[in-house]
Amino acid sequence: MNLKHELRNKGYNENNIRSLKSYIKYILKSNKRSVLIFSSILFGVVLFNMIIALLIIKFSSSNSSSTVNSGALMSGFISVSIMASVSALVWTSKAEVNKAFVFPINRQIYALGNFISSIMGSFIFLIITSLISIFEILMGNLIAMIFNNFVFINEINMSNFIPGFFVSLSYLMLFIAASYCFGVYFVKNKIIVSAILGFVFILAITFPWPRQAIVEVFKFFFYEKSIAISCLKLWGTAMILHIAAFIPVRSMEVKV
Amino acid sequence: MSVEKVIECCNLTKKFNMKTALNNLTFSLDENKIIGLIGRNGAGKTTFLKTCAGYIKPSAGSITIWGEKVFNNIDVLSNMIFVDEEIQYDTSSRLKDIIDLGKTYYKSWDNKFALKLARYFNLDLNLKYKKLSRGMKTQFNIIMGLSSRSPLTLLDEPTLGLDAAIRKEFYNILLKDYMENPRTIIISSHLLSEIESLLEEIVLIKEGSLVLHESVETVQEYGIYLNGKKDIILPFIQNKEVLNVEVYGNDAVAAIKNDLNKNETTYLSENSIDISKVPMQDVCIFLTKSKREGGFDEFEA
Repeated sequence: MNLKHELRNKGYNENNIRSLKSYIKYILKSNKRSVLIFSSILFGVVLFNMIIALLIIKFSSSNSSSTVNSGALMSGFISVSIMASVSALVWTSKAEVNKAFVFPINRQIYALGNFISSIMGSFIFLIITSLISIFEILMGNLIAMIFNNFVFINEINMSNFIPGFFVSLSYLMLFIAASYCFGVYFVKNKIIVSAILGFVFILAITFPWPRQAIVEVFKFFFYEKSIAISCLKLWGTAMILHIAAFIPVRSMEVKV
Repeated sequence: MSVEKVIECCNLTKKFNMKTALNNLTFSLDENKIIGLIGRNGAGKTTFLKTCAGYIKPSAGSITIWGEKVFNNIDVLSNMIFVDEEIQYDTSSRLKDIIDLGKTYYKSWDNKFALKLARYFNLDLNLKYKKLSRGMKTQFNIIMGLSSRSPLTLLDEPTLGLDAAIRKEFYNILLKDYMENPRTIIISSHLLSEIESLLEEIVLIKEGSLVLHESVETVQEYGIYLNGKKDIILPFIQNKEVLNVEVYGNDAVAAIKNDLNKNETTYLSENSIDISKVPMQDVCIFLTKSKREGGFDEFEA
């Protein structure tokens, strides 16, 4: 069938699906290095803690003990939050946008692909963190079995791990969405965004109410006791931020 | 069999702030042809190709590809590839990973052909894109452009940075591949003389406006040089469409539009005026020359 007629016969979305799948593959592949660096650092931190604890046991008096807390999950989450936020900001730079558009995608696929890959990327990072945490627990318990004066404190169990995983994922989604949205608007108009930030900063140091508002926003996201409501707030806000970011992206010109 | 239109522009205009890059372009291009997009630096060639590729939006007028609007249209974009010197693949990716991505993005991707070309150009696919020299990058970009087998292939100065031998090889490969897999290929290039033999049509633009859109045969016949005594040539060309005149002492060389009748040809021969065809490259240069008269010698800053 002739291509012109094929295009007119728009009963399928084969091109959309192929392009979206390929774009997500592209993002995940290009972040392979970040995953490796992150895994190595976190793994290194866990090993370092264990080695230090063992050295303390070896070089201290026989009745003194060494205590290690299972900290891989928290260290991993903090590292992922920082890395993911920075990555999301970098995505929006002109160079990265140009790279993305080398292959056939449109703005809708770009935005949707960024959203989906942010979920997938966060999920992958958290899975790696969890695996390293399991390694840390196994190693801690093994050392504790060998050395009596080694104390390994593990507060993680399945009943707090699973909800913790989803809350962490939700927070990551919020951090990424906030960075991404900020980046998109900043690239679109650096002067206006800088002026707004400057204005808010001046207001915050001049009047008490902006500071109060910031505290309220902080409380809204971080002081929620119900896990379900917390996830709902975080995902809802992340979605709103992605939709807000799509407004300038929809008509964005590339390679200008 | 009717020939389908691939690109149709109607009063296509693109402005960047105060600068008009494309100015009321109206023309259409047929499918399955190799078309040369010719113009001087800043004529609007790249802007036109970027508009075709959906990177930028027209300020006014319209451009349709296969009858569809281009901007944000994934069905159109999936069937085209745009290769230019600024192309930015992920620099930390290995060449084989980029080729692998091409395979997933383009439904007509010919992986066997991509690997064959890479071997032919001696490109190590385990190399990272950032490790390539400029010439190697150009070669790799060409591989991506040809292997996609996109029904619309846009090549913006595709041989920049390549030496003459590789440029020639590339044009041979392009022509052979086109014969085996006909598609619409638009090539923008400064080196018209090199691509002349490939092209079927020429679109010549100057300062964003269309100067001519003709078959190569028409452009090859477009102009003639008159070479001889200036006393004969200068009065003769007064009522002609003059492309260029250069005077050397008592002699002159004039390039005019090829519309001589039999009597005029006889008159020129009787007065020992040599008549020869103006090469296509010169036609394009004359038709797009700047408003400054004379050359650098007569130019006053």
